[in-house]
Amino acid sequence: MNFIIRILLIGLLSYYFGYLFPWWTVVIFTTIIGFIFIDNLISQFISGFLGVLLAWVSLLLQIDIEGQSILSNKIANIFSLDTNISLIIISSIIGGLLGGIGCAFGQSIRKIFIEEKKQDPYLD
Amino acid sequence: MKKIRSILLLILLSIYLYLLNIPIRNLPPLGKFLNPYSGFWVNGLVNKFDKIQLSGLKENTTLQIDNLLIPHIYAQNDEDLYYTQGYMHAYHRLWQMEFQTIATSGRLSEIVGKKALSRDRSSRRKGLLYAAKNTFEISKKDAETLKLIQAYTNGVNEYISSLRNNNLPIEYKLLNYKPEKWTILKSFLLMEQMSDMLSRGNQDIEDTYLLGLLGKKEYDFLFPEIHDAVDPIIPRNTKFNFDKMELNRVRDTIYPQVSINYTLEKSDPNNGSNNFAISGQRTQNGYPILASQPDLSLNLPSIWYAVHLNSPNVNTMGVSLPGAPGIIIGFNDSIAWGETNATRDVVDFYKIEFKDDTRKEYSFDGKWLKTEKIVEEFKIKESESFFDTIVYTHHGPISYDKYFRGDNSKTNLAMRWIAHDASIEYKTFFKLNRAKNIKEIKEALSYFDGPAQNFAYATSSGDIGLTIAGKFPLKWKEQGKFLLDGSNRNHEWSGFLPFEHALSILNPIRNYVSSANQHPSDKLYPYYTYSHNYEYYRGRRLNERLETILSATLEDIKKIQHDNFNYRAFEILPFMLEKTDTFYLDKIEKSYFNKLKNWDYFSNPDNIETSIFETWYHFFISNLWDEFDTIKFSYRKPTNYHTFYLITNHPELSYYDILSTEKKENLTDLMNLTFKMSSDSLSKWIKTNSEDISWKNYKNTTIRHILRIKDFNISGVDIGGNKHILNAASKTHGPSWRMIVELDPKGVKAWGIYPGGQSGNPGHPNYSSMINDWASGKYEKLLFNNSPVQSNNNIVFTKTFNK
Repeated sequence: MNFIIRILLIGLLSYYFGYLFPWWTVVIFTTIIGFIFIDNLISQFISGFLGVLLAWVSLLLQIDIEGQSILSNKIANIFSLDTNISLIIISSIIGGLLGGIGCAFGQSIRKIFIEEKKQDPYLD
Repeated sequence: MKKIRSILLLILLSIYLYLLNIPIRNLPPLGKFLNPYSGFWVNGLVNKFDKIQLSGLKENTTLQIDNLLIPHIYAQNDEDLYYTQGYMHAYHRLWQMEFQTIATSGRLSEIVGKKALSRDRSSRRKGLLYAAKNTFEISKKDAETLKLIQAYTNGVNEYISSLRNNNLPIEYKLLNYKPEKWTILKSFLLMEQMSDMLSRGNQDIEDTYLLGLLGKKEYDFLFPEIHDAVDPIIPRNTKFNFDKMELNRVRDTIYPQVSINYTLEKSDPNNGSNNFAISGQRTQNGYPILASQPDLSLNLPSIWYAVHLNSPNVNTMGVSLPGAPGIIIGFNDSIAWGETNATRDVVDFYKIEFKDDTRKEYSFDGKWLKTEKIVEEFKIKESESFFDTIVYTHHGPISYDKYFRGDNSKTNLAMRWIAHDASIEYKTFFKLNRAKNIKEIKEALSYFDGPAQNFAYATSSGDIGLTIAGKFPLKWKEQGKFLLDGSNRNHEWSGFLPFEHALSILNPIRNYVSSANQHPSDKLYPYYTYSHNYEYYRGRRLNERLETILSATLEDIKKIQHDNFNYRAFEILPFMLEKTDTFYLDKIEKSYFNKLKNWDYFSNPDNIETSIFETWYHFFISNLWDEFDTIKFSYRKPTNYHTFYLITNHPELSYYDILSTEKKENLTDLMNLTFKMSSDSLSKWIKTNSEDISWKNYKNTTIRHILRIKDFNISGVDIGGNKHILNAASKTHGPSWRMIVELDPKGVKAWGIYPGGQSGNPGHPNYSSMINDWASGKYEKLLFNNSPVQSNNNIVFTKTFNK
């Protein structure tokens, strides 16, 4: 449940608030979320990755459909990619990785503080 | 342990973020470029007009935008008018206008790196920035004009300051830089760019070398200044009733001898145009018609931007240059005008003798004059600055010396170019946009210095006329055709033609005026008007067409602008075919031969005869003049028309020999061999391209993005024509705007189209939206009203902005 909530939160935050701040600040949301929720680092990474990835995929699809893919096809060619879909996937993975590393980093800081209090091996 | 893990993750994160924000190889920074918030994706969304904010207005201004995205600006004073024009230019074309001024001022290396350094050095050696600064200085004295350019500048800057990272034009994102503030100087630089494109044509260095190599007799034999066939812009036998300004005769001129391996890049010799005006006597509706078609590099974003400007002082429409206020080719309620390039030679090179290697003094008229040195810094992206010292003489900047394209310390050539002189072209356009009659048109043109243009015009009161406007140096015969001696006072330009002596006609008996970059006049005009690049074909075809049309309709005019008649083929091909021996031709060659034999000389898009002819002609010319290819310095070859003249009048010339063969060929051999070469070459072409050789495929007209990004180009345009044809669409050149205006006194009507779209954004459907119609000969009727249009389906946006 914790995992799903994290994905949703990260997804919604990056979907709606990405426009208000520089694009790379996505990493700040994910670090904070990663810090707040307790889970192991791999699970944190995956939730950050999927959250941002899903948000970007849906943002990009929306933009691309509205713009009739005119520009994305041209840019895909410049990047020597076969289709604009590949470009959407690559862009989203770039964002996903940022989210994933952010979450994992947030959690790793948390781990420094909670180290002594909890001894549940499952969390580490 | 856990701390270390955090630190490692932090390092990983930092490295990742860093990599996403720096350019790798030729790619833009990936994170910056690909994110959905501010990356290139955003440029794929069509800008909403409701983002337009005009907050620097003095009075209320109404902006309407029609379905072609042409802005119709209704202002209550002229400053607001140009302010809004500046804003709209930037709104649709900011990147283009800034990029062009950066290129003109020799700063491309700042954006694209080292590869542009040579180009940048050329720009500064040509003195483009120096010219713009001179113009800026003189313009400060003309407060009225300056005020309007300032208003325009403010409008551009209003738009720039509204930009955030996300809505920067795509090219900024690709090249990873940001726009600077617009300045008045940049608007002047844009005019210098036009001069660079249109008035810098010369072969001074090449011809000097050829003169030395060939001797005067042979040089004149190969490069005559004019032919009898020419139908000049000002009709033959026109009398001039003014007293000629006298010049110092120069006897026994000795031209300095210099050869240069690579002369400065020439402006494209295909830059041309045609324009004409027909009086009401020869039109069906009884009103004058003006047509204008500037043939320039086919670029995206387009060179032109259509706009309608309305204030209590002016109601004008047409095309403008993004970066420059006003209308350049267009019409108003009372007149219409269009320009073609006048081509005349207004750039000369002077050989300078320095006193010593310090280059502080140079010899002139028996004295030593002081130079001025300016150290130019070239900032280079991802590299250290480069410095070049440019020495200025009173003639102009030293363009060639041992540090730049000259081979030794004796080669010091100063460039004297009319564009270096302070001038006030904007005043011409502000006045022309407001002119109501011939008198006001002429007054406007009297301020025009360059690039010299053939202005054709017509008025709703029934007048038609043409004036060759520009600042022209007074020259003795052959002055400036070759290198001049910078120490000899007699080699300097001794003055300028007064505007009253400019070539001009008004309401001629033949009831039309026209120009197509041909020679301006016959020998009755008492001044020397040389250019190496006058055109021999389009002007004749245009006048022949106009002669036959006695009651012109709109459709007739459209047909002239789209005329694909290949005059060059019409003249030379029968002779070439006659010389060809069909006995030795194989099956394919015979079919090509028969095709050519039955051709009607129209270079229409689907015809294959043009492809055969052009290929043959190409091989013929290159093997005819192959003797020139042995020259290691910059040179030129005889013109197309003169080649036709020579082969039809001189059956025996040593040039007919093909150097690469052992045999000594004559003209017949040359024709037969090159016909076979072209047939082989066409077969190869068909194999590699797996397409038929229809002219449109073979020519492949391409409208190129200014950065030459292949995927932003539009290629394979379905259009006929070629250079030397009225429909001058060659591979990368052609009609950059077609305009037809009917001067009905009850309301001027106009049609126009250009190969592109108002939006400069490659992600906008409008970016290339007019290309197909342009190619197939369709026009858009231009919406031209005196006040904002009420309820019209063609209007996509209307808003009144408050002060």
